[in-house]
Amino acid sequence: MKILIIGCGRLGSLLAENLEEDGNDATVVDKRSAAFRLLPLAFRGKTVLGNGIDQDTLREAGAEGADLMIVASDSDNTNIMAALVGQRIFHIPRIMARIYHQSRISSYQEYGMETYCPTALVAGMMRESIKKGA
Amino acid sequence: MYVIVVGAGKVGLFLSQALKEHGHEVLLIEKDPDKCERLFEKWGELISLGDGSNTQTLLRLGGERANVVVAVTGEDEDNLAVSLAAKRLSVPRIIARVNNPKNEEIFKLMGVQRTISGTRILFNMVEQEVEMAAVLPFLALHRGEVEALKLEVAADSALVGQKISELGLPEGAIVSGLVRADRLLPVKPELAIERGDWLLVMAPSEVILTLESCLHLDECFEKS
Repeated sequence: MKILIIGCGRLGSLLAENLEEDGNDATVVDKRSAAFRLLPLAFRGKTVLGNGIDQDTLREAGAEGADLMIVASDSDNTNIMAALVGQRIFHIPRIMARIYHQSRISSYQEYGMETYCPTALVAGMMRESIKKGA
Repeated sequence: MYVIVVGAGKVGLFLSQALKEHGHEVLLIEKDPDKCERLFEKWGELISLGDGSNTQTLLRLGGERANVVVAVTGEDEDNLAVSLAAKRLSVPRIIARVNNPKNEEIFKLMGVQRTISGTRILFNMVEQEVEMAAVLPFLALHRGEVEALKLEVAADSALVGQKISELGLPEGAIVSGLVRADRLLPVKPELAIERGDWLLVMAPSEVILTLESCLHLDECFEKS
């Protein structure tokens, strides 16, 4: 699968590494070149320096033929805009978005994107674990 | 009108003040606490700390009764998110600043019709100045039914050497003046046109297009 990852922070770099191990073709975009240092030396995928909301950057990163886009920058608004450009302009069929603010989940889901809010996920897991232990 | 302005940069501050002076109810939302605190002394209740791209924040600040939401932060992703949040609250008018004209497309695709791009406006102005240097419409009279144009005669223009009477202007069009070496000359039929002259032409707007071919203006456009 051709996967485009926006944001090469802890989440983006870990996903890039893992998804490549699974045999996917991963490309990572970040606006800071230092961010790519988080990738393992063995990473063979492409890295593109630029803003994930910018059409030219996304085109250079291969958005035109991507099967999946994962937006994992540290800003919710950057993530939603990059995701919308990927969905509406490049017609990427599947979009996964990391979201910090729980209150935004429903609005992102309106656009048919898969949302992952770390806070909500961890809180839910802890809650389940506490229930089981009781 | 109740207007919510998001982003207390230069544009947001100027806009909020001007709207307030025009008697509108204005709320300026800024997400940077330090900036907000600094501005609070002067602006008081006009400014509110919050994330304008969050639907809940907009709701809390009366977004549902807002007539207009204006997104003027320096970041296009924030302006898009603010516009989408306002759309969710069915705000009747949403105006977004688009800093990078490349981003206008996604705003339009998401149904944000009113976008303002300072960069685009500057670009258009510069381009018009360059392209229109040969012909400048400078006056519209009688609600635009009569237009006045001025035209610089280029060295290689087919007009050089022609007499005013030979121009074959369309019905209703007149050469009302000729400026040569910064002096206005009286327009006489036998006056021959020289390079560098400026012709002042008045014409009914319906013949402007015919006028362009008579005066070889189409050639001017191609050359510029």
